[in-house]
Amino acid sequence: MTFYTLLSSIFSYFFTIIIYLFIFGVIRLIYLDVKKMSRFEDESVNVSGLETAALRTMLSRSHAESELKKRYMIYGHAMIGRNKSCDITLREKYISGEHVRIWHEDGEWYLEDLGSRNGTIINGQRIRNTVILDAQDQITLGELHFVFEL
Amino acid sequence: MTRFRGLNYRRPAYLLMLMNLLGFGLLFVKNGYNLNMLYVGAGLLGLFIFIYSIIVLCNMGDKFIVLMACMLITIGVLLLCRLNLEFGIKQIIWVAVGGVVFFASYLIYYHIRFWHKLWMFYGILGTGLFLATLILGTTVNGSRNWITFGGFSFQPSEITKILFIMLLACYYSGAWEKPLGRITPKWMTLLITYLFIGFLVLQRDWGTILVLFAIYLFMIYVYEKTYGFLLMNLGAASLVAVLGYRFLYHIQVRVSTWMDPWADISNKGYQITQSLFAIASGNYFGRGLGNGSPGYIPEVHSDFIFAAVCEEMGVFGGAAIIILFFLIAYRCFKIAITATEPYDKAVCLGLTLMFAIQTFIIVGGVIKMIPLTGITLPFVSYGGTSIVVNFISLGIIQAISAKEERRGGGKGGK
Repeated sequence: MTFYTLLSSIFSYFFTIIIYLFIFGVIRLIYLDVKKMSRFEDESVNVSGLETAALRTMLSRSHAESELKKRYMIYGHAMIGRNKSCDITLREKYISGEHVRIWHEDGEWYLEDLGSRNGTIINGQRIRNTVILDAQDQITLGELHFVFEL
Repeated sequence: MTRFRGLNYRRPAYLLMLMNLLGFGLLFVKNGYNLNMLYVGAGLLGLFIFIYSIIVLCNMGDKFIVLMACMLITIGVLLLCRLNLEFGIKQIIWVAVGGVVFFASYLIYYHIRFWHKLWMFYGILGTGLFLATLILGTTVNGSRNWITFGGFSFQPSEITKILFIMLLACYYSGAWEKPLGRITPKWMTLLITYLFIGFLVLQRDWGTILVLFAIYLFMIYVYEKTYGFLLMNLGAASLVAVLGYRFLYHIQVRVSTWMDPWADISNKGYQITQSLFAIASGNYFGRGLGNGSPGYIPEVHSDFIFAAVCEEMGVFGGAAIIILFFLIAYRCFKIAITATEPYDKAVCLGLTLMFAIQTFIIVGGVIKMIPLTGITLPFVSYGGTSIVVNFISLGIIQAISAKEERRGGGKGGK
């Protein structure tokens, strides 16, 4: 029994550590979840007074795991890329740090590729410079597919 | 990057599995290499994996609440198996039943859309359950709140809690506006609340009275625009409390053992003082699973399980349970905030309040912060009805969060 007593008291430290790692893991996931929803999420509130548009994500099977949102709202202007400083951060392998820029000007929506490595494809065509976007345009960034919505 | 993230996402689930493996491995050694222990552990682990993978695969809304509930159940079952293997096995059977009920209540709540019209049904069913308890009930530990049904016994008051919350939600979501006769719905809810509490007084089930009334008060506090109604209810509650203290011996005993348990340590104060000794002997990291002596505490498997956790897993273990409940409450409040249908909002709020209040009352009672009333600690305590009802509540919350997620995704353009 003394062997068991020793074993059990050692295990009690393990248990405490496991439980707290679990709690920290959950808190971290909750934090990511909250961060994900806090920006560009609430479509009913548009305090900026700017024109809004949205990128609807077309989920492919391989990306079901990652933390893509179903829609990304764009308020007047948005930088899209992998960097944290971008307005819409997409943590994907084939997305450049600053991949593409979408903005609204004189009643039109424009998209500009910022020299991304893997390019931007709109309605099946690789683009080189600034283009005007229409509603329901299909935008492909790296391996991700979006539909542009007004 | 994606792969790293994916791994990260599953890490808490792996830790839960590791906790199960280590815990049941340890108990296997303790019980003289009794293979039953391993079967029990494997069963529980399989159950968790099954439930969690269905939630993830079918995209059933929030993933964290059930994960945290599984952690609480793990701690509870480890303690129960250590106390008495029979309790542990029964508890796991109840967890299995609870899992089935969880998915059933998820599907039922998700697909039926007229819950907010059924207030009369909730009221009548609740009253019916109380009447059945009064007529058929058996008395256990001074509370007449059990119905035995051919070798199988359950506590109707646990089910009434959910019915009561759904009834309140009918009114506070604004779905129930038509007065019955000359009584407006607001006074009708008041009447039903006091009717239920009256039945519970007859059953001497003080814990449930406290839970129901606290839920009612918090709902009033959240939804009523003025404080008059709340103050009136608080006044009524304090009047009832004072009268109860005056005339009911039960409540006098509870309060006197709370004020000074050491005065009658061998008799009335025995339970609470043993609980305090157990918590004190646990230290920071606990004495280790199986090293303590929680057997001295009466009712350690149901109401006083928190004291056993503190003894064998330490103050950190006890604090972890409170943190887990805190996180569950936080997630549920978040779901209640983001829900768009008012009825869902009110139900989710009520169920969250139920978890939170129950935890507060029993943990506060065990550590002698408030007078002790016997209710179960959700997910941790031994008790079939309690586990099943908590799983039903989880299923409803899960359905609400799934509705929200799917609505957010399917909206389309302007």
